[in-house]
Amino acid sequence: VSAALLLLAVASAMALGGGAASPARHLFLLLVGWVAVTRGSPAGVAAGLMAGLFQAPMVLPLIEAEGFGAHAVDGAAAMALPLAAGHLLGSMADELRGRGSRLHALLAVQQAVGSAGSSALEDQLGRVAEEVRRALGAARAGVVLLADGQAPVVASAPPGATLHPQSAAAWVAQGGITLAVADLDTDERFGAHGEEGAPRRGLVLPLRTGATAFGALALETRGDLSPGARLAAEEIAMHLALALENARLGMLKRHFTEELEARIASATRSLRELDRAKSDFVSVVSHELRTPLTALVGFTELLLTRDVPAERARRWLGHVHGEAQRLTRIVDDLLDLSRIESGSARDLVARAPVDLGAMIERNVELFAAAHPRHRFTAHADRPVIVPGDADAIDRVVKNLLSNAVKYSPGGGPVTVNVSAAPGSPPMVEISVEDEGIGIAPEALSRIFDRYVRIADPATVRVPGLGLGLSLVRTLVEAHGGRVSASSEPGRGSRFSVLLPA
Amino acid sequence: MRLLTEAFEPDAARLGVSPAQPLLRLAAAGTALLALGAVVEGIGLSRSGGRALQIAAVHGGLVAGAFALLHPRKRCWLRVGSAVTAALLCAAWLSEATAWGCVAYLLPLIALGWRARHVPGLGWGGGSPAVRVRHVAVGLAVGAILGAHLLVTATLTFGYTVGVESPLAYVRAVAYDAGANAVSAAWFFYGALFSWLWRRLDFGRATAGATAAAVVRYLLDPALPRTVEAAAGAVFYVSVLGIASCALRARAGSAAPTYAATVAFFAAYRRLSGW
Repeated sequence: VSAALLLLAVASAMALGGGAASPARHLFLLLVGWVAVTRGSPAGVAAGLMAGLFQAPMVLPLIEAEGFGAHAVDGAAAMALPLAAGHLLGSMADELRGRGSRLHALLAVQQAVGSAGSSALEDQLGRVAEEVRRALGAARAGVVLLADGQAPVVASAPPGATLHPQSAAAWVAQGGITLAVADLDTDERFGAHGEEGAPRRGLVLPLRTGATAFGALALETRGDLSPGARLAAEEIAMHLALALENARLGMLKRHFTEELEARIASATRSLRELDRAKSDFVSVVSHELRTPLTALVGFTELLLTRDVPAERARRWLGHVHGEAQRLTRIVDDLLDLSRIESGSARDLVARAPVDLGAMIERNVELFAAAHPRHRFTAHADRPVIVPGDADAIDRVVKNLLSNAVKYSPGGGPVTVNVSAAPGSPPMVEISVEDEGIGIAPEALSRIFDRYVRIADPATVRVPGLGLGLSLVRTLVEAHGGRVSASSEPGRGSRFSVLLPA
Repeated sequence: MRLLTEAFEPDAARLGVSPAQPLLRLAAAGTALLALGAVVEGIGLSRSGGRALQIAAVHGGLVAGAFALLHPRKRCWLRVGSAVTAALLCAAWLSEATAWGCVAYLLPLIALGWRARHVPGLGWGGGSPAVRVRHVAVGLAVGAILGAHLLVTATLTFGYTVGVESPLAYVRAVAYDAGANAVSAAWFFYGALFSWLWRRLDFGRATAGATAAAVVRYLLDPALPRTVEAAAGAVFYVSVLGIASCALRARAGSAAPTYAATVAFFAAYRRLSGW
């Protein structure tokens, strides 16, 4: 209104002072230029048109009177110039403003996507959608990201839009084809809702960095979407795709670093635990060696320094022999440990048919004879033949039976089963069950680790180096099998060994 | 946000039902009515009746065409078109036949308001946003400025005078503009045709198309004086009025501001004498 009044004032000044040739006519250019620069091309054109209209009553009589003489041409040019200037300056101002807002939007997009980790991806994309909406003067903007096997990520401005699986955005994100819609209200592909005010233009651009699209940028505008805005949208979509790809790679890098750090921390923790376990192990070994050695030294000193009746001497020699055997077992375990630590267990196991049924029966008889307080039961599908190292498997069975006895201090049933395990590849299962003190759930995961002895008041007096189950696992795995345990504290334990049939 | 939230059928046809069939039917009916009017006037049966038939045929046809163009599926074009045509026939005949019969030109406006009150985009209230007093005031101002410009330019250049030979004739002419001429222009050219084009093209091309059609319609109008300056003036002012009307329509979403601009312009134009 103020521009129109000013134009009218200039026209009045012209009419009063010289008509079409009045120098005041140049003020039109100034006013129209000001309107065009501050309000853009449509306002500039309107102001230019108005300036032309205001001059027409002065210029047209001149043309009528003189024809196209010098004054008339000058007047006609003075009429047309404000219109041209309004259009030109307005377009340039619009272009500059558009570039500025596009640049701002691009920076904002980069910033929003680049701040990965500071907030959820939906929030970042929500900010991106808002920036794009603002920069392009759109009514609504939305960003959709598809990921294999995961729910799509959707963000919109204004927020709250959800993704229909058969929507245009989903179609573009899957097909990678740009979709431009002249009017969403009347387009039959959207169900034609009927005319409502200005046309609602739609533009959906695929987000891609290579051949395949992974998302879509959708825009809805009221009224026209200018070619410049469309180009800007395409540019923003390209930058957004690159920024998202960079963010994805950055996220992968961060995940990789975090995983690496976690692994290093875990390895460090394991090493510390191993170190502590080794220290404990040395202490246990010292104790385990000292006990039989003390007995050996004591009995041999007694035999050497005293006259002992033959029968008593024989009994003492039996004790000496027993302790020497115990020492031998400890040394054997230590040697096995040495072999395992050198990593050669797999190479050391031989491959020959082993009759598990016979082996189990033999061991059960042996243990039943040695431990009368326990009731041993064996169930075996005879013959059960597996390829393997008979000594190693025998060692496994003995260790499991020995553990069952050790951790059932009050006696009780010990059941051994050998049967074919269901599933593929074919396996044979050896299970040893007892009704002893059981194992706490938090300790179950560590019982097969080396040097580990679970601290429990009920087992503190049980002799052992903490190597038995570690040896079992190593030997079973050397055969291509696996071992597992289940237990309920106070109700007993069940150990299961699966060996390839 | 429809692009995200609604189902999209890529294989469906983009454009819906074509308005060609109802428009052709309307053109045939309008031509028939126009011919009937010419015959009635030509054979001297009833001059006023013949003219009334012609006015009803042209303007009623254009109003019905506006509804057929935007809503070809619905039968509203028939309902509204017949009501407005009947009202126009009645008003034109009364205006021709009686001294103050021109008041009857209110009838088409009432018929339009009543029969089209629920038709999206073509009621007095328009679509969304609803018509506002501000928009109507702007329309009136645009029409008045353009009309004033016409009067000033015409009096300065071609020696026409501003004045009214007969107040009754002036009122009758303005009533015709308000009840028929501006209605058909605002509803068909700057309403339906512009909207139809804008839903397919950008604003500039839609405006150019609707304005060009309006210019052609006024150049073909037998009431336009057959002089070069009158034809040039018609092209110039109808073009400017058309551009302003399309902008008003786009801004307000209603035909009311455009109607106000057209009425205001023609009210000024009717004060020009000396043809």
